[in-house]
Amino acid sequence: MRIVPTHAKIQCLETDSVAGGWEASTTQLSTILNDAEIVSLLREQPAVGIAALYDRYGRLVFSVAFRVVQDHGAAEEITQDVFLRCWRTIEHYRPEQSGLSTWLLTITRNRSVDELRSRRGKEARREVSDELLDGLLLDPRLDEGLIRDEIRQALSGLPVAQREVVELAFWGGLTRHEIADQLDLPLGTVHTRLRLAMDKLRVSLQRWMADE
Amino acid sequence: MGDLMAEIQDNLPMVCEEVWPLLAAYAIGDATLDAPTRTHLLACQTCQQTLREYSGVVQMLPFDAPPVAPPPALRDRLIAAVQAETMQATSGSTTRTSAPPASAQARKRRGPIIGLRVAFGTALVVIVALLGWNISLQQQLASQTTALTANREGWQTLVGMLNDPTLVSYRMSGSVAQGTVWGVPQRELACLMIENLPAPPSGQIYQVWLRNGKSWSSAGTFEFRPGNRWFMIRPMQAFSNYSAVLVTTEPAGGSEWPTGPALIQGDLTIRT
Repeated sequence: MRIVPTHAKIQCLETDSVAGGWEASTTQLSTILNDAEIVSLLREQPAVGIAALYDRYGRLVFSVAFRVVQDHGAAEEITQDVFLRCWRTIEHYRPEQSGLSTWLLTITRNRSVDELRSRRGKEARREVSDELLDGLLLDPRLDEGLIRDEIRQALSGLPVAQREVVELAFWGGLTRHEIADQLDLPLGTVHTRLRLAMDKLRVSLQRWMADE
Repeated sequence: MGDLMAEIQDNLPMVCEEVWPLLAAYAIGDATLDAPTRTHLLACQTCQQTLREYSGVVQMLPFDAPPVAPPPALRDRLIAAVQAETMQATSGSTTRTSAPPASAQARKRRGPIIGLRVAFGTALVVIVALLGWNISLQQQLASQTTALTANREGWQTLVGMLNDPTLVSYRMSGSVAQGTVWGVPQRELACLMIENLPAPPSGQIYQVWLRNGKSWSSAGTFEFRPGNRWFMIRPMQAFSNYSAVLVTTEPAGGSEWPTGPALIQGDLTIRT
């Protein structure tokens, strides 16, 4: 039997900023690494980490950006910005606050809405502060496919008028006043429709909300 | 207690039904909460829960976007942008570290010259000092280059291993630490990724153990450095020969068998 030298030093892989040359072979990483491992890789081996992150979430981020801005070039620019921002601010990512996909998509949607509003000559919308929200909002067992199925089913259960208000607010980046103007409705009606829609959605999706 | 709660409830300036439309708009990003609403929210658990649920809904809404494939070139462009930025940061830090000696030299040149002998002596000292500094810098550079090369080769080995079609992975867990071990069954190569490894007591190091049959053999030691998460291990036998992995703290230099507390361990018979 061979004796293992107990004094052998294990190689601790340090952060390496001089990356390159093996990105083409990283395609499997996004399927074998979990989100925490991708985040760790992103911190310590940025080029490999960003490739793995993009392979997992690039399509999703691009789809959200495209849904908001309806323009391939702008969606492409937003997608690149989102991933670069994610990498630059990865130290601010709090896994106990949100899943990696929801964090990325929140950034994507906010960035896309700002782009849309900027084109319309409107002020950027504020981002929701998390100071009033502690802990994970969604059940960590939810995967992308399940979330998609659940949200589509919940949205399809809304009356058309309520769904329209949610879509104009969320995807169209319109304020309640702008929605009222566009639909020629009293502001109070927009308020009511938005609140009723959100109540129905939260009831439909309640079982997927994380416990406090 | 009941009276106190009733009094607090009575003094709430807003009722929940008034707050909910604002919370819905707030969650979707189209409202700021004024002081009375925030006061109500901080005191009302029902509204806090409502806001959490509204915000959870908003986190799910992006998944309704129909899938659209991004252009293939975007991936390469993104990686190139990250590489360019990291290399710029690296060269920037190198420039910064080499700057001080130049200014020190300049200061020396500005020193007072009393006479020719003094000037000659000073120049000699400066030349010797510069030569010494140059040699020291070259040694540091060679050492850093060796370390960088080894580190890069380590990462390349890791990435290559993670892309091996026969790769297997196992979860590791401890009271605080969590991790994963990957290995290629027929190779003497494995990798650990460990989060939240607690610092060992002073003067101790970590030691990795692999179980083969009923005995543990050491796979090597490593020292505590905050932020280190990825470790390459090169067992003496093919990875498939081992049934468990364990990390303990041991006296500096390592032990012949595990003596310290188990910080994290994994069963290599149950794949993830």
